[in-house]
Amino acid sequence: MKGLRAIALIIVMIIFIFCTEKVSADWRVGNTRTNAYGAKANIWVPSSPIYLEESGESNWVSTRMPSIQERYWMQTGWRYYNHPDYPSPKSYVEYCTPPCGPLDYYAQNKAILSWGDISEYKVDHYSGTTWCASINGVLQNCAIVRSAPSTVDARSEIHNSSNNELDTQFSAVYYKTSDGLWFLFDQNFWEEGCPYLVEKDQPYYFRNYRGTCIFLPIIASP
Amino acid sequence: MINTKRLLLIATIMFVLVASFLVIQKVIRVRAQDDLITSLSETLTHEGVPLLNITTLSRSPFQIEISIERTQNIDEWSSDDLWYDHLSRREAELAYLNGHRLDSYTLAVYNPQGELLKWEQTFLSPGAISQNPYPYKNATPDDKTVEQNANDLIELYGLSLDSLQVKTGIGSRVDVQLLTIQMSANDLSIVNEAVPNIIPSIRIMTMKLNEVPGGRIAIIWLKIINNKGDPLLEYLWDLELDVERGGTEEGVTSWFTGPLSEPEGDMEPTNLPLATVSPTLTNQPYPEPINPKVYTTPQLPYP
Repeated sequence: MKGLRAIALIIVMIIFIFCTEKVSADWRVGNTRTNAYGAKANIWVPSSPIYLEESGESNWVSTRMPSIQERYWMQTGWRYYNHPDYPSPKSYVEYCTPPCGPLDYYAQNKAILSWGDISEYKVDHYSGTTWCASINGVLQNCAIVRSAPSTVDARSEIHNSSNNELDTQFSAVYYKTSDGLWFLFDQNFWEEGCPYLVEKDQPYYFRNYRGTCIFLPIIASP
Repeated sequence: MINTKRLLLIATIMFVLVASFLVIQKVIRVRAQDDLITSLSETLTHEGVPLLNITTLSRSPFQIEISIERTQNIDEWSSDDLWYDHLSRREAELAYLNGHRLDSYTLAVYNPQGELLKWEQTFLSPGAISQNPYPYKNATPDDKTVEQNANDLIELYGLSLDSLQVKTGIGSRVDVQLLTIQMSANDLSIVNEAVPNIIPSIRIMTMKLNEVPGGRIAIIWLKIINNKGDPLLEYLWDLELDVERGGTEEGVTSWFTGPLSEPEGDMEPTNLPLATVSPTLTNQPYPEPINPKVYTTPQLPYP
């Protein structure tokens, strides 16, 4: 009996250590819409500077890559890195065109943002395999990327350190239909990864943030 | 009667003057646009870019298309192709800083057989980072000093340094520097381990080099090859345009993550809530949706 309790205590301690120690990985948290011809969202920059321990984070709307082998996509949003070139967040457009080899990746920062800014970011299908990215209704880039429809995401992406702060609101998150009409996100395909969580008001209205995860280990009674 | 005649005469003169002014203004604008195309063509040709042509897609807004030819077929590539592609973009994007107004440019890349490989359109607006001067700390470039500093600062993460070169003058910009670095490794695993660290490290090094006298680096271009000389990774960062270009060969770790790939089957909806949470920050009110904007239509010549 005492032995079992000791084992249970060790398990709880291991889980606690894993949960509180810094973890190195990438996280992508937010919501998703399948079968879409575009995505747009108002994405908030937090009202005051966020703490970044390592690397950085981006908050975006994006198409998906057709498959692991076909790594073509288009994405737009804002990003902020623990790097001297990022005194404040920047809006950006990123894409990789087929075959996504050594000549095909493109990422350009478009504007320097202020803390508390809200901008509308959009990627949408134009025709054939051409997609375009716009920020605040102003076209930024169009490129031959991938076929439509695509699964689309509105997410935050955090790199390298679980100690990086996250506090990003997504509002008015829309997807585009084949008719060119825009509808609010209406599916619950939430993605979270401890410690990055989502305050889910609506599928089209949510806040991604760094929280505290509470795990309750299941200990079988002897 | 005399007054009416006089009024008619004045009105006619006014009309002729206004019409002449508008025509002259249009002629000046068209001439300036043609001058830009001529100067772009000359610069790109002088730099060795395999330029097919530059055409005007629209006068107002002023939109051009730059067509270039790949030196290789679709399954093959060379570093030069990345450079030609980027230099074409760069010269178009710097037009505003060089005194010309350009609303958008298209880059069309063809293979030697005349097939379209790539088609990308970029829209420019005066507020964009690339349309404003880069805040260099130093007025004068000094290649030798920067080369020495770069050799002292560079971190290799297990790779070998094959070459490191600084050269002043990039296309139409005669007072900025290109830093080219080539590294290699015998083992792909060493490259894959190095890539996630080496790109941020190279970026930080570039910023430091521009802080000390002699540094006016506009572009850093990193190439990683294997022991047979095969290219594995190309990374080009243009500080003036704030753009990153390049990519990796298959099997080589990317420095960028990209989004997820399409799910293989149907996605399963998730239940709410997913976790027990306690926010670290005070909740802020949700914003109202931004008013609908008027969306301009891209000038796309291809379906």
